[in-house]
Amino acid sequence: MASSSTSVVVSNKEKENKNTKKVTLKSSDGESFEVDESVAMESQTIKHIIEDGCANNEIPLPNVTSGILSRVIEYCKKHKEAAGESEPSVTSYTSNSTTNPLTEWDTEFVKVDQNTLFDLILAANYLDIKGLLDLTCKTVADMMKGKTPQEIRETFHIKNDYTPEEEAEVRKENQWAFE
Amino acid sequence: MSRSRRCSLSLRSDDSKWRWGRRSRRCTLSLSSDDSDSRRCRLKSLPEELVEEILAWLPVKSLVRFKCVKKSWSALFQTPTFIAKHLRYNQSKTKNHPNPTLLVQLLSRRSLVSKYLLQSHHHDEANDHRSVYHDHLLQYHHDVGSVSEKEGRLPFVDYFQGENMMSGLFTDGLLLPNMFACINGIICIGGLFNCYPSFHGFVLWNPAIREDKTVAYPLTLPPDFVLAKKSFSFFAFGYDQISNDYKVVGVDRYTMKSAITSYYNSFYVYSLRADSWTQIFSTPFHHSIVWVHSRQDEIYFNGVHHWLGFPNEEAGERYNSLIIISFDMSHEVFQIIRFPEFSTRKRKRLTVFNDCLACILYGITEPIDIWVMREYGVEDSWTKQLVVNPPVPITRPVRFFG
Repeated sequence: MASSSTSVVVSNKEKENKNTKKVTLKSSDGESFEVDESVAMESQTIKHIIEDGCANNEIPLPNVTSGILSRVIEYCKKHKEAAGESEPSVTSYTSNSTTNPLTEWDTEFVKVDQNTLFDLILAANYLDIKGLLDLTCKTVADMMKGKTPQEIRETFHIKNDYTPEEEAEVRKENQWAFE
Repeated sequence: MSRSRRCSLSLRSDDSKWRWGRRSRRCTLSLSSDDSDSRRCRLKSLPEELVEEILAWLPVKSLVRFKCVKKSWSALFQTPTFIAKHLRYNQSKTKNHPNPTLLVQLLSRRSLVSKYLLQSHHHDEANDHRSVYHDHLLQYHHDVGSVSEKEGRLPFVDYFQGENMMSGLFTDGLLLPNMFACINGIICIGGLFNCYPSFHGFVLWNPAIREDKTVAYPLTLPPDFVLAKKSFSFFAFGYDQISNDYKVVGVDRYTMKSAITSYYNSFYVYSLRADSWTQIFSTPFHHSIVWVHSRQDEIYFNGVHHWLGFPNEEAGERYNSLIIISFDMSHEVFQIIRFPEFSTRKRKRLTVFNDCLACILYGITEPIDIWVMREYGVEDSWTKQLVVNPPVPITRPVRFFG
């Protein structure tokens, strides 16, 4: 028995199985998504569940609907692929931009209605996916940039707890920011 | 629909509330639930920490404006954790688009007095800064030494207008500047200010939020040195990453001339958080170390400030016995780093090369040697990195670019 070659074959197969190990994620509305474990591990929350050995059947995600979950999976897949392909970054003295090659893709990804954007923020936070959280928060921040405080209050329906005098004083102190 | 409980945002056109710069049509961002009769915002259910995350990506000017949205926001912007987060996020944003800011020192006709102006070349929304400061520069050229109305827009004068002691702190200028640094966007300028009564201390200035703070240098007296005279002082500004604190370290050198001349160094550190000075008594070297006076021989690297100094008082072989004295801002400790045996008598200059501490050995026409300390703190790791031949006689090397 060529034991050495058999064991080589076996170990290769094991490796292969390990690489394409899948997990099933279940959304709040009952839909199941099967993804590669490595892709699912982009989420620190899922990663901990798997590492703690609790991911036997499906991982239920009661806080995420199927629509959002499918988008999140899309994000994770794309970023996992890109991470696998890219070479270690080399600092170049001449280049003044070490841009993320996925910048364009990310920009398109967040071109969604605000409903979805906020849901993505909540999902990214719950699933602990830093890249997605940063991306979505940055997008909302960009929308907020040029607005006046009143507009912010209106859009986020925040109750103004300053008295008119107090508010006038704060404005006066920071007059330069309103110019 | 399962989404009826979630907040939904709709875009309504024809509402001129605000305009998105990048979009051609006018639209407004409003929140409405799927129940059309109730327009209650669901965003209230976004937890505070997520609102914080969003706010941390905003530029400073927007944050200052949004202070008056809600009291808790104003309080949030002052918290150290938020500030640190905001700094991190904004630094990562601008990593690829650095916004250089130049602090220009002007010499007035009175040669002892120096004035400082900020010229900033920010992108996007801070573009107006450039014109403001540019105006100042022009104004100064024409009205050197006088306080004009436009000069009143300098942050220091604005701030000090109500306080007699400090008024004119910067309009009258700074004599004997002994500290000058900028870390994380906070500028620190120290020295003897030419106002009445004179002020010996430093100013911490954050131009982004237009706030500043003055701190006086403490009076320190060495024990047993009743007749000591202060010969000079050194100060350095730094940032303590561990406790998120800005610090200034000071060294006062006292001389006492009696039968023998003796020296004493007094070390102390100021913490912005504690808003107080504390004296440092334990140092790894005898207190008689001399410090090099020239300001160009010090650098701030990796949270540690480095000076060049001598281990003893002997004149003569001074340049050969130079050592580096470092002060770690986080741990508040002094350390000595020795140079390897340089077989030359060239002048030394500290710098940073490829993220490592380095030393430039130079003369006037001789080849310039650059030695790099590959492993910080390990004296054996000093390596001669390269030799540069200057095409013309030089006074001194300034710095590395790129």
